[in-house]
Amino acid sequence: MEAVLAVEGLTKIFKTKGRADTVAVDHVSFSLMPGECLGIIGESGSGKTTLVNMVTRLLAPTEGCIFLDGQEITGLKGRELREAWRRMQMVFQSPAESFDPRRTLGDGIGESLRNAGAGREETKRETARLLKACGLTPEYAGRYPHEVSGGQCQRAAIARALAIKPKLLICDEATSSLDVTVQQEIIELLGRLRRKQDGLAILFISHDIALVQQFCDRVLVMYRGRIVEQGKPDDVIRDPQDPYTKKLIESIL
Amino acid sequence: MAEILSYEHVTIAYNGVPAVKDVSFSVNEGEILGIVGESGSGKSTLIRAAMGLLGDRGLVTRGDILLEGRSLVDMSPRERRLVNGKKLGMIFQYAGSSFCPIRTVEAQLFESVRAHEAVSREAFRRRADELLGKLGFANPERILNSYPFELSGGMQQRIGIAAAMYFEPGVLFADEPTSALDVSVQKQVLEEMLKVRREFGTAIVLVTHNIGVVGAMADNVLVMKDGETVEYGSREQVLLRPEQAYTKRLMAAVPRLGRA
Repeated sequence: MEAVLAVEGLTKIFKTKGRADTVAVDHVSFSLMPGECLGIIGESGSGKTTLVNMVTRLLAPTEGCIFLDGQEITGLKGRELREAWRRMQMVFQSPAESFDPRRTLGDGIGESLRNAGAGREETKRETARLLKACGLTPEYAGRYPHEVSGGQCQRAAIARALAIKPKLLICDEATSSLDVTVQQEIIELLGRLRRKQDGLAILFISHDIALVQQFCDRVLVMYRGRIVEQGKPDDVIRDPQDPYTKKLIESIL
Repeated sequence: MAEILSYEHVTIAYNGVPAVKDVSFSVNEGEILGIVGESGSGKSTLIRAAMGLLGDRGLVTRGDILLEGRSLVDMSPRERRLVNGKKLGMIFQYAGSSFCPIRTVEAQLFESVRAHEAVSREAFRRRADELLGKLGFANPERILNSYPFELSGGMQQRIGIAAAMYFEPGVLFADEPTSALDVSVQKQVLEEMLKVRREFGTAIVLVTHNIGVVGAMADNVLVMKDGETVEYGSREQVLLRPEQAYTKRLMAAVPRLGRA
């Protein structure tokens, strides 16, 4: 089986005049198989988001390669890059901010469908189906981001991400701004979608280790831009090998 | 222990719409009360009312909030100045953003202290050094001479706590004090709050959505939903043997680390 996502030696160095270079991500390599859920944990500043921004090609890596579905996407441009983006989608931390405030949730969800060539009627039908799959009623398509709660908005964001049937779903702190009860609902939804859409791989970025243990098959621990430990969440949590991981796990209440 | 703060059937409304309905509880000297609930449950409104921070539109419409038997509701601005800071301390989610970015920590703390009493720079400095030492700061000198942005989020939060403790108030309100911090830093801030209670016998009212923090600190816990009290009792009872369906659901939703 071929990995959905593989990165090799990915590095990002931020250079600022008059200051020492910041190595935000330092030679990170990992791969993600179809249907797998990989968690990345680490404290703020450990490089999680920089890593994700490179994987999604929102930020150019200083060094290293990214393979999506076996195809190298590191240097892709224009049409080919847009093609690659059809195969990966993101769910962000602040649901309301990830939608255009002046357009309805339905517009946001339907945009990628229309870009993929769907007609108006088909877009409407598909948007309604996606909303239902994500636990909302089709009438939410007509609401604006500020008219719904954070949890409802995040459900719509997941519907939007799944609209063009990506192979890779990237969740960057997707539940961090939600209340625990709502977080639990979103996690249950992601689990359900994963079982339904065969082979959907998820890259799950979080600082909540307990949540990663609940949801992911494998976990990477990042610290100062490097992967310091990886393995099954249960193994990493019960028997951490790296001193940083040990400290991290000890501080959990 | 004597009771220091009490809420008696408090109802608070914004623009006439009640955000907190008929909430009662009391806090003894040196007690830590954790108030938990989801966003919009009214937990921050509760402590804002005691501090007089409800703004123009918020109003305590029924009930009373008493500090050592004296009402905190409808206090004149003049009385308020004698209470806030001296008897009631408060720390916010982002202590760093309540500091001015272009002045040193010392200059700002000195200014806020001078608003309450006439103290010389030297006396202030001695007191600040002593206070920071007591709270376990390794290098008070360096901290005081820093600008807020030169300090980490956790350090800013700890300075916020130290600043609130300058006059050793009997009650410290903490609104989501660790919610913006990483777990390892969260632990340091939490330990500092416990140190505050140990050193000064301060009662702490801790508002948070983080059940883990409450489990590690609180003596009593108040659970709120939609402005109403759902459950109120000892930490052991509420967290381990919740009686109400909502509390049970809330506790079940907290991701817990399986260590064993």
